[in-house]
Amino acid sequence: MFQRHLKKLRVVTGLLFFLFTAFIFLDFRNILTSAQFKGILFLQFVPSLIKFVNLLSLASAGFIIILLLTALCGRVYCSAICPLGIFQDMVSFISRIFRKKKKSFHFSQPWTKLRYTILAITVLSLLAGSTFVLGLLDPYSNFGRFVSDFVRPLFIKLNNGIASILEKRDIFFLYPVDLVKVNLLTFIFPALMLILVVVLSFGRGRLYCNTVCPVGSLLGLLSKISFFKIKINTTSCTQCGKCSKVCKSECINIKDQSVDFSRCVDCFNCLAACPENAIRLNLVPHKAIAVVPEVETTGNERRAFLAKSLALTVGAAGLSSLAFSQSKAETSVKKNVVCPPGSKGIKHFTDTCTSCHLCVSACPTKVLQPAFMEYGILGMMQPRMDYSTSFCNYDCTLCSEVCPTGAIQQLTKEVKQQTQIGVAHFTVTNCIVFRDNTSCGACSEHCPTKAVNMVPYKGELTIPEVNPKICIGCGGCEYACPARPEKAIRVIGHELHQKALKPREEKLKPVDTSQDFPF
Amino acid sequence: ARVHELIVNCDVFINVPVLKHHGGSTVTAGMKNMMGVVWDRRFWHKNDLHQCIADFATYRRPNLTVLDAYRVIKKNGPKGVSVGDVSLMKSLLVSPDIVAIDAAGAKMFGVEPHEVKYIPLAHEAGVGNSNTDSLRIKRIKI
Repeated sequence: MFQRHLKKLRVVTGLLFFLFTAFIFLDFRNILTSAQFKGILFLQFVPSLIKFVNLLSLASAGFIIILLLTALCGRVYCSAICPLGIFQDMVSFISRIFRKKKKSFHFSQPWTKLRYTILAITVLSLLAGSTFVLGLLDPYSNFGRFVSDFVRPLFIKLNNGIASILEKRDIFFLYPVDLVKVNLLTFIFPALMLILVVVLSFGRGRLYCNTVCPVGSLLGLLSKISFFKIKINTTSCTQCGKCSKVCKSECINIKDQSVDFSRCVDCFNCLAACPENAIRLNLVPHKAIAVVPEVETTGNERRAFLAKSLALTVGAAGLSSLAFSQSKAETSVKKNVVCPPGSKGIKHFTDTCTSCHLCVSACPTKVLQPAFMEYGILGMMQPRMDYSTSFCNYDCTLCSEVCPTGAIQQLTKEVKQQTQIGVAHFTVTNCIVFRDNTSCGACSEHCPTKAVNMVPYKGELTIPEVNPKICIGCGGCEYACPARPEKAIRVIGHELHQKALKPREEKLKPVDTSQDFPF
Repeated sequence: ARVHELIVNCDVFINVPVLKHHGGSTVTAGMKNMMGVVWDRRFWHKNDLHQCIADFATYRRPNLTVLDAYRVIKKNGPKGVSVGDVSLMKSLLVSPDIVAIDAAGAKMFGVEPHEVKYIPLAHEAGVGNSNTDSLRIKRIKI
């Protein structure tokens, strides 16, 4: 029967999505193009949804396909596409290899109140204006942070180690790549989430997906009314329990011969396990939902449950919108935090970014680094331009090309070169020229527009002067400035990005080379 | 200073700079080009740039310096902002004396050698001769 082979199809698809999605965060050799990045991330639910809401373009309509797929046959996304889901399957698999006893799963009651409370808090905090909770719980963004923050440095270290060994044998197809120092405090939340996901999947399969993950909860609600559902044929079922033993979502109740399809992640383990082909994906006759309950409850119990959930949701709603609107007003965005070109300004950026760190991984100069408190506590982990670490390359638009949510909107090189994300401010008392009366000029050397220009100072000395009209805030000057402990020139970020004028272009008089030598 | 191993180990050292305007040092030619050999260049900017340029030239004088003055960045150097900063001079200077070639390069550029502080400093340190009048110069037109 065909359906028992669905598991193999799921495994292969899942592995492919997992490998490709992980790879785009590790690709430090730029093997893939940003267009290919987009293709790989097309079906990721949360970024596609956010991008669609922002840009309303069909190119970011992947989430619609996921919704249709879920309405058709359940949470295929969770087993075959979501990289965090597949990661959990791997953890589960590894945890079961080394066990002698307790290798199988068994049915457990759903944590329904917690599940929908978390979903409510996520949605309501979004409406209250913060993407913090969504970014924290979104499975794609979590996976991105795990790979970008934890795996990538190890991957690069491995590369550098092998490269130096091969180099001694005159083999150069690998070369060492620099690793920059990061603020380890920004890893607190990603580390906590990693521990949570690993602990839950080590012992309880997909418990995270059915309790914490808002995508899981949302798609779970939709799968309650899907056209195809996994059901047990009570006549051919012998109640051997083999299906329940392999069900990672712990949602098959073999005593009642029922499947809680809102928790089912369509892994199809059960279809492959059943010796009688009694459990199958079946087309469900569509009537009103109340007529075909998944779990038998009396009218009274259901009413009490609904009342309790409503009260909880309203309570959670009230509290969370209060908390978020207050904290958004109070948390101070640090005065000179700079967000990348294409993000339009701090509000648009922090409202749209879910901190997946794809831009941090892709940035060739490594100027994009996760923030700690620079955007306030609700902006923790969102990337910012860190000019003490690096500067923004004048000819580069990579971050805007790869951002999957549209927090950094794609720019052409020409537009980027006139996008003023901040302005350089010169503090003469910190400058080497002022303090030591010696020449420097490092800032002007690095300025791509010569907004920072050296002008006559004392004697033969020159000192920098900033033209704020053509400065684009790229940070080349701040990065190069050798003054310590305080730099003499720093970029103050704009809350709303401005347009810079083009640098002056004055052509020189052509030199007559047929004449005699100049001296 | 920490330098690239090649400058310590090589038998012959040929320096091939490009003549450009420079925001920090007025002109960049042969001696300024040597800055690229050093790992921590920020130190130079922080601790009297001109003196560091002249001092480093005492470490190892190139056997030959070939100064490319074909297209010279006359302003907004060393990076330049647009093609309008470049002047087509179609020239090439060659010398075993790095100070002499920097002095000649400065003159080609349009400033006097003594206006570029590291040139007289290097001359004083005995790295070479910056007095263009006392040099044997062959002028060749092709």
